[in-house]
Amino acid sequence: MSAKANVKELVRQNTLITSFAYCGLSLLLVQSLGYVFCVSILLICIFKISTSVDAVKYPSKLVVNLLAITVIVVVFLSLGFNQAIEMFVAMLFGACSLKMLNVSTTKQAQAVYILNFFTYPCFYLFSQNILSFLLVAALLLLNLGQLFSVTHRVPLKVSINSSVRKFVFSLPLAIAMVVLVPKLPPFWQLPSAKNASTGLSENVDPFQISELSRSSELAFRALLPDANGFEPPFYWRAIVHDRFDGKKWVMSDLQNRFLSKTYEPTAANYTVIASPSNTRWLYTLDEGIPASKGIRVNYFGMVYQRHLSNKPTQYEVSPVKLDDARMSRWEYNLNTALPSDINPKAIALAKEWDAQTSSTQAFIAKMESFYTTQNFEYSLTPPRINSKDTIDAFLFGSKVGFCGHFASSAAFLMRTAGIPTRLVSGYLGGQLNEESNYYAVYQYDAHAWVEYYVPQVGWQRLDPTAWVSPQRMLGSLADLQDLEDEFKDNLGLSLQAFSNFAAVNWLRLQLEQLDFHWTRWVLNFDDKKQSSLLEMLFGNKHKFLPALSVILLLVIVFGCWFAYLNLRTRFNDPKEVRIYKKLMMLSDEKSDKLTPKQLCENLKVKWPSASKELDEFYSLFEIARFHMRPLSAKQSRRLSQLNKQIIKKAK
Amino acid sequence: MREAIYKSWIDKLIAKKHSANTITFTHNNIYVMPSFLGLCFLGFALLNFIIGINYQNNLILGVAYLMLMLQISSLFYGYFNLHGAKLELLDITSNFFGNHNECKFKVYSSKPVYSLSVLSADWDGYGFEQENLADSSSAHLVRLNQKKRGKYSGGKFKIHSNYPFGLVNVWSYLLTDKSFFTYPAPHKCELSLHESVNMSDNDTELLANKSDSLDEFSGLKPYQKGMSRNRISWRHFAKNQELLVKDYVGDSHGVSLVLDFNLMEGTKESRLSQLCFQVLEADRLGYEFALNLPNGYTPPSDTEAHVVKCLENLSEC
Repeated sequence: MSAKANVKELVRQNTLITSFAYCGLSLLLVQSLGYVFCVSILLICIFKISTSVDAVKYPSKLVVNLLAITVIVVVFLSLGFNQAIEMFVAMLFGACSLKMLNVSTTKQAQAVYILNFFTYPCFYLFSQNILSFLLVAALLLLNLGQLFSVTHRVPLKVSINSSVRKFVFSLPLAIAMVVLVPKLPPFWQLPSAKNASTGLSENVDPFQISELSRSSELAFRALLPDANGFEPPFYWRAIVHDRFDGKKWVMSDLQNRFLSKTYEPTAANYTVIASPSNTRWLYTLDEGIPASKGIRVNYFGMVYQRHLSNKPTQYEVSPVKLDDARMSRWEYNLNTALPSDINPKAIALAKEWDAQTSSTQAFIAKMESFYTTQNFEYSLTPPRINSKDTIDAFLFGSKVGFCGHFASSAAFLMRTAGIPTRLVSGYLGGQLNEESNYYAVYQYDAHAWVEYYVPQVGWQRLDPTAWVSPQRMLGSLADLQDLEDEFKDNLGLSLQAFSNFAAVNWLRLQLEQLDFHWTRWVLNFDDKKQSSLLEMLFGNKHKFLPALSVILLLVIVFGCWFAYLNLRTRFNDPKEVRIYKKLMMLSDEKSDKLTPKQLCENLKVKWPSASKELDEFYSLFEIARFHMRPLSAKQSRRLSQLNKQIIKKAK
Repeated sequence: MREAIYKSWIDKLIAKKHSANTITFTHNNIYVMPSFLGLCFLGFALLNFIIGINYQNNLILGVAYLMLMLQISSLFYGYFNLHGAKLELLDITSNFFGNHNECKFKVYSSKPVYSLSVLSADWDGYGFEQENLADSSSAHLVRLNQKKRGKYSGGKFKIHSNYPFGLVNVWSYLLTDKSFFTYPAPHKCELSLHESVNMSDNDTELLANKSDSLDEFSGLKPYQKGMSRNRISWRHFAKNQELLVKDYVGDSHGVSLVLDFNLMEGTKESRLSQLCFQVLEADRLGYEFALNLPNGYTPPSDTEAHVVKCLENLSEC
């Protein structure tokens, strides 16, 4: 009876812990799974707590089923089919935490803990950084301990102790398998989770934002070769905006059109590891074509991925120079089009400059002198402009803005003068990590600038922000002295904001470095990296060897382990018992039915010549086993001698 | 047909390997297989593998491999859990119908054995299940629940463990040659001892001595195992702490009182039950009696062994 009560108590305790685990995981995924779902999971968890402290009766099956229907409806309404993965994971979490409400037997608990080996790793669909890895690994270990606890009815503490050893034994083998087992291509395309909320927006509308929300999240990292052609400032192009509707610059329709121009390579390849983002557009220095599988290149010589990814994407880009010296009629029209009847002052100004100048360069020079002499100011918190003539209001009114304002107004002026111009958004700069030699680019490095077309030459870059705030071009925004306070206010509470303290900064850089290697070697360990690693390990014969080596490794490890455990159990016996067992083998009768005394008598009959030794052996055996007195070293040695003599005589 | 052949082959194999009252678990008598739970576990590992491949997610792939490794190593852990332990069937007690027959097991092991259960494979009953078993001095009981009186052979016991995590089944058998009896349930009734009717020569003589059989005390003899406890002189025991038995003259030619199946009333089973009660009652009162059953005649005696013999005959009848 007490054993039964004990089982109930164990199951109750363990299910409560598991409820917390589900609740915690769901709350961490709140951005993907939605607030409504997380609140319902929280309510279920509270329900579970109240049943555990006997505040509420255990719910009946009917109640749980009704709750399940409610959760399904909630998930359906809040997520829907176009977020298939989120819905699936939410349903799994919801079902599991509801199941926790009425698990009472060992069997049910075991089933749940087995299922958890599938449920917990689903977290990796959304997040794969080191912290997530550690969190889920810890949860899996806990889960293994809980499975042990409910199966063998031992307290959780004891069971975790014995599970840790089994877990740690399996872990290196699993890692070896990930490294060595040849990677298979995906069998079919599954919908992936969208979780990144940061990234560039596809339309640039600087005038509606009074405060540029900047985040210190990583946008991407770039490994640039130490070759010519890679000098700052680094303008990372991502999106081209070629339509202006009076307020915002809209993303070009050509953004996902294939490249149709000829090109010639200019420099060595470089590698970019992009963090998950809410857009498919990746980052290219000037123009480039992808050198990795699964990455595409668009009409503007910028790379993008086919589907949104929720894990870091690593790709290589080969820099090229597009042959865009000539421009077709429709392109010209597209890149000079402006809505009519707005910004009359700006139009007048541009027309005036156009009349005074004869070349694009001269026009730009006029524009530069205008921006530099008219007290324009760079700010991360510009005032909001609500007028219909936004550009007029900026150029002749507030004169305070960030990159979007400058790029937008400059492009408007140039289009008015008939110069084909487009807006480009992306990132500027990057922080060099000197130990690992990569550039880290953060969300706050997002930037917008202008590209204009010069006949017979092609598209040229122009950054009006640089006229107003030249330091912005030199490095990352984080390095800008003037804006430091403003910048840090914007970031809120993050390690970056405390970078003044040496220790914090050091810690931040170490974490940053760790994350870099994690992303590069663990998350992006793909078939390409694997095959180069295998080639390094096995040489050219790496077709069959890796697969063979996995099997061999497993056989060897398990074989050695088996042998070790076998030996250990054998040597666990005291010496006299071991020798006695050997003697047992000599006797051909079923000797385990005999007492040691009988056995010795039997052996004496069989080999009378050894009777003296057998007698002596028995007396020693008797001392050790039956009188419970440990043998002295001399006696022990004598025992071995006797053993040898008996065996010799028996032969 | 094929199944029958297979089953008989398996039975023969088990009989050959596991016939003993003591078994030391080693590599040739432990069987290890993944359990149903383990197969489910592998199923989820496969699911994780598919998801890991399709999302090119190394972490989920790693979990899938980790699960595979856990399952494989569990087979080893399960095997070594039982390996080296020794199980001995000490005894199977006989008992009356309606009560349990108890099989006493003892486990010897130099290391703890986890989650061990022993269950009779042939008979209904309750096995014992022990979560953590070190070398223990106390015996563990398997209780058998027989549906009918009779003589049974101990049969096959299955030793099973699902350590660790319940992911594996580790099992072995023990095939004993010990047998046990389930006696008829005693049914309370009047004690009806009859004088021997069907007289043999021996009995005639006994009858002749009947008159003087009425307890003529002749002295005290030291108690020996097997003598009726009813004749112990407790007075002496209280005084001197020595067990003496009252000896009566003419004991050897004592009364031939018979419990006779044919003189009882009722169905066969009820007669046996009544006889069972009477045997116990007669023993309690210290009578020397014989038992006449359709399947044989038990000559008169008043020892403990005699009572047991009578009960066994009643079970087998």
